Order: sequence, then C-alpha cells, then structure tokens
Amino acid sequence: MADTSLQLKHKKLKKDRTVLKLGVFLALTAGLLFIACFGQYLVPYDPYGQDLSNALAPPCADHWLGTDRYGRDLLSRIIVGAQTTVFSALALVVGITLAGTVIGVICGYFGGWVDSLIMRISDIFLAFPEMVFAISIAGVLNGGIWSAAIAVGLIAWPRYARVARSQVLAMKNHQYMNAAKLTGARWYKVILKHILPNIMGPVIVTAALDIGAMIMNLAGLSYLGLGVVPPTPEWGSMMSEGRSMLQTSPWIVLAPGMAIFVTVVIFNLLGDTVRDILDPKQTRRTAGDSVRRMKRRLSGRNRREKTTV
Amino acid sequence: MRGCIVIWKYVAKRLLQLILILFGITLLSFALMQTASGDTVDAIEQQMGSAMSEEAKEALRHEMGLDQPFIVQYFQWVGKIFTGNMGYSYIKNQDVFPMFMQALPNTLLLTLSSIIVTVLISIPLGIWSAVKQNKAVDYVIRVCTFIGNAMPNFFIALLLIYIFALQLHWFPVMGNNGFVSIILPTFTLAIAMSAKYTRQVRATVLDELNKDYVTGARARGVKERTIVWAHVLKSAMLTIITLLALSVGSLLGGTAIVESIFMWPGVGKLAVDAISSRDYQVIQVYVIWMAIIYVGINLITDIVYHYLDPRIRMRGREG
Repeated sequence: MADTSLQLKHKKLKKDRTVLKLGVFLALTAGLLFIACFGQYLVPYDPYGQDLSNALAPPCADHWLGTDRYGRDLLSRIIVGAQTTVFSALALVVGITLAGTVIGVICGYFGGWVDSLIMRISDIFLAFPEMVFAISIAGVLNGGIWSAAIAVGLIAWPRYARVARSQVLAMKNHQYMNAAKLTGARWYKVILKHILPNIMGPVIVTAALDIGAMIMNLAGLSYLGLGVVPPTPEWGSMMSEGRSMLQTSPWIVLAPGMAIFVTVVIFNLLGDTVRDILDPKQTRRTAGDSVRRMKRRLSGRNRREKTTV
Repeated sequence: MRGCIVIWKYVAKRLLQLILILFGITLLSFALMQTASGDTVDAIEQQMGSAMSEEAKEALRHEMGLDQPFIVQYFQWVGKIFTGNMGYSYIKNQDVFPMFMQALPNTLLLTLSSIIVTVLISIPLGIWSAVKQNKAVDYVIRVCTFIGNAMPNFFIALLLIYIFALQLHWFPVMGNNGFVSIILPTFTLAIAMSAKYTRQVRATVLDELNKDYVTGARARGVKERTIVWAHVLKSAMLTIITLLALSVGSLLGGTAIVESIFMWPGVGKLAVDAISSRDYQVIQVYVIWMAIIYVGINLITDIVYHYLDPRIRMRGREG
C-alpha cells in the first residue's frame, strides 16, 4: 500500500530527527575519544603526582572532583583513565567483531563439518555464565587490562559469529548469489563483494550496542583487581581503591563511577541510533529483537534452518 | 499422545547435546587450569616451606599421576569428579568440594531473592509502560531503565551502601547477619536486572498488544483492562517467564562482584578470593559448577517452554 503524503512527511521528519541524533551522539563520542587520545595534555595536574598534604580533599576550586588518599587530583586521573577504559573497550569490540564475522562467514558459507564443529565449540563457550568465565580467565591470565580484554572477548565472540552466520545463511539462497557463482566468481570474491557488504549492518549494530556493556565488564574486572594494575588510573580500579574511604570521602568512588556511567550512556545512545539507521524495519530492536530471537531459539527454528540449508 | 513422544524425543536430543557440552566445559576448564597453575608439586613444595630433592619430586609426581599424558590426566580427573572428589586446596588445606557446597546455598539464596525482587519491580513496570506507550509514564520508565542499563552493578552496590548503610544506617554494610544483610545485595542485583527485564516485558506486551485478537476484542467493546489482564498477560506470561529463566546466567556471574563487595559468603566471593590467592582448584570447581547450573537451568527452561506452548507442541505433532 502506498503511503499517503502525510505519512511520507512523517517518515521524513522521523528520519531527519534520527540523522540529527546521530550527529549529536557522534559529536559526543568524538569528544570522548578526543579526551581519551589527548587526555595527558589536558590535565590540570600530574595524575601520578602525590601531594600528601592535600590528601582526601573534597571537591573544591583547585581540585574540581577532589583528591584521593595520596592527594592525587581525581579529575586528572579520570581524564587520563579514559584512555585505558575507552580504548581497551573499543579495541575489544573491534577485535571480536572481526574475529566473530570471519568465523561466522566461514561457518555460514562453507557449512558442513567445519560449521558443525565451530558451532559446537561456540555452544561450549555459551554454556558458561558470562562474568563467571571472564573472572576465571582474567584471574588465570595474571591480570592486566589485556588479559581482562581477552577474557571478555573469549566469551563474547560466539554471539558475533552467530549473528554473521545467520545473516549469511539467510542470503545464501538469493538469486544474485547463485548468479555470482554461475559467472564463475571464486569463493573469496563472493564473500568479499557480495556477502560482507550485505551482512555488515546487523554485525555493526550488534557491536555498537555492545560497547557500553564491554566498558562495564572491563571496569568490573578492574574493580576486582583483575584488570588494570594500580597506580595506572582506570575507573574501575579507582573505585575499588576508594571503596574503604566511602564513608569519609565518597567523591573518590562517585567521580569515576559517574565517568563510567556517562561514557556508557553516550555509547548506548550512539548504539541505539546506529541501530535505528541501519535497521529501520525494527525500530524497537533492543528488547523486541531479543525476545524474538529467544522465541526463535526456543521453538527450534534455528535448528531447522540449519538442516534445510 | 504423539505430542508426548515428540517432547521425549526433544528431551533426549537435548540431553545428548548436554553431554557434549559438559565434556567441552570440563575439558576447557581442565586445560585452562593446567596451563595456569603450573606444577602442582612445586606448589606443594612452596606450601611446605622446605626444599625437596628432585627424586622425591619425581616420585611424588608419579604417585599423583602427573607424569601421565594430558588426556589421561583429564580422564582420571573426570573419574574423580564422579566420586565427588573435586580436588584439594593446597592454600587452605581443605577439600574443595565441601568448601564450595558450604558457600553455594548463600549464592542460591541471593540469586533467588534477586529474581523475586526483579519480578516484583519489572513485570508491573513493564506492563504499565507498554499500556501507556508514548505517554509520560512510559518515557519516565524508559529513561529509568536506560539509566539502570548504563550503571555497572558495583557502582549501584557502592551507591546503595553509601546511601542506605553509611548515611541512613538502615542496613549493615557487609557480612551475613541474617535477613537484613541480604537486602542491599539483593537490590543491587535486582536493579541491574530489572533495567534489562522491564524493557523485555514491555516489548513482549507491546508485541502482544499489536496482535489482531486485541484489535478484535477492542472492536467488540471489551474493556481495555480486561484485554490486558485476561488476554494479553496470559499469552505474554510464557515468554516473560522464559526470558527470566534465561537471564539467570547473567545473575550467576553478577553475584561474584556483588558478593565480594558485600562480603556475602557465597561461591562468587570464594572464587574472587581464590583468584587473589592463586588457588586454582577452587576456581576450577567454581567455573565448572556454575556452568553446570547454568546449562541445567537453560535446559529445564527450554523443555518446560516446549511442553507448555501448545503452538510448538502442535507443530511437533504435524511434523
């Protein structure tokens, strides 16, 4: 049914608004990335510089967010800490997106025993509760932000592989795929030119919606002492340092906590908007889609899909 | 009757898959801990504090079966698990399994109470938000869930401690002193989970509200309240409960951080403590058992869902 002109106008307005939203959130993200990149040149104080005479100072004109136990300026530490938190989370998301997509495309395109084997392996990884596995791996790998990132990545790749795989399966039987194969295109050419451009949308949406969660997971591991090692400023470990002084100097905990919160909010808003743009058919995807996916999983349609292809 | 057979076939298939997954879980954990923990005999030597001769070490290795190939060691270890021997913590000089079993009820209690609070918060809010779609209430609830989704649970925990324990003195800060101690950790977990779950409930109810039978009921002049409570809720409930059961996994993992913040003596705290003291036997038991509990819950959920949903049962009968 053709849309009336009023409906069309409404749609256009909505689209304009989404694009505007994307611009605003991209600008915010760019600001965040700028701080993360050039933080060490922006800070008012040395983030490692101790000033014991000024320890545990509440927020004031000199120290906007107060100081910690060693008199280090919290604002400076938070700004510098952005680098660790934001870049490790972004690197992690980019890494698992690439790995997951490659694995998922291989599974979906070639099928057969490779597919079955990798899917069974991913079943095993999915059988662990997320943070339980991440905590154990990070603990075993002896700490450090990269071991924390590897721990979270190991548990997150199956989701990406599955998204990519199901996309490949869904488009495998399209006419143009057969046409491409009939014209003699080699498998890598089919994958690069025909499959990848078409599946990137859902994969990017998954990744964009995940950045916030990844930041929180990494900060959680750092809070437990399994991520960044002090004195390197990182928001999660700063909160854990301030934990014992919560009663007397709550700002030590609140400031990095709010930093995590604001960062996650920005990335979540960006993720939601990216989803709205790349996936306009399902505007309310966050919850609705997970419900639908869950239903599909439970009704066993996935399994049937696999056997028919 | 044939519907019954289909269910049993399904259960059998899932149990077969379960065995494969259990094999994978144990193999993965075993390999991981083996590479991480290094030489057990060296650990014992360190624990004893006195040096051992190389021959004595070799003899001990032979006695403990550590000179066997990896896969043999793995099967020996699996055999031990079946007899309830999950290893010995050389750090705490205790068998690991009783230690774990002692802490497990506390974690399960915390998980259960958080689920109850989550249900009490998110189902009414989710329904309310869906019914009042795009009204002020809906926006407020959605903003709240958005905020809840952007707060890591340790931040929520510390905020609750600061407000309710340190400022208002309503609750103890940490430990296990009976009923009052469980309230703050419960709410920490429940707030984080409600934020996700309210959205899911809202989406499910909205999905249901957009169906034809609702339009039909409205056209017949059925009261909106009756539609929501008698029809929509009834058919949405199955999905809502299933989603809840499936989110237990994130709860089981989330308890680790929250337990160690509130010093709640559950398995999560046990594991976090074990990591800082490099007690790999305990970590191993924790990972394996948490995975088994999680897989078990998922399996039961799937089967119950299959059993309860007449649409799936029917389809099975046709096919």
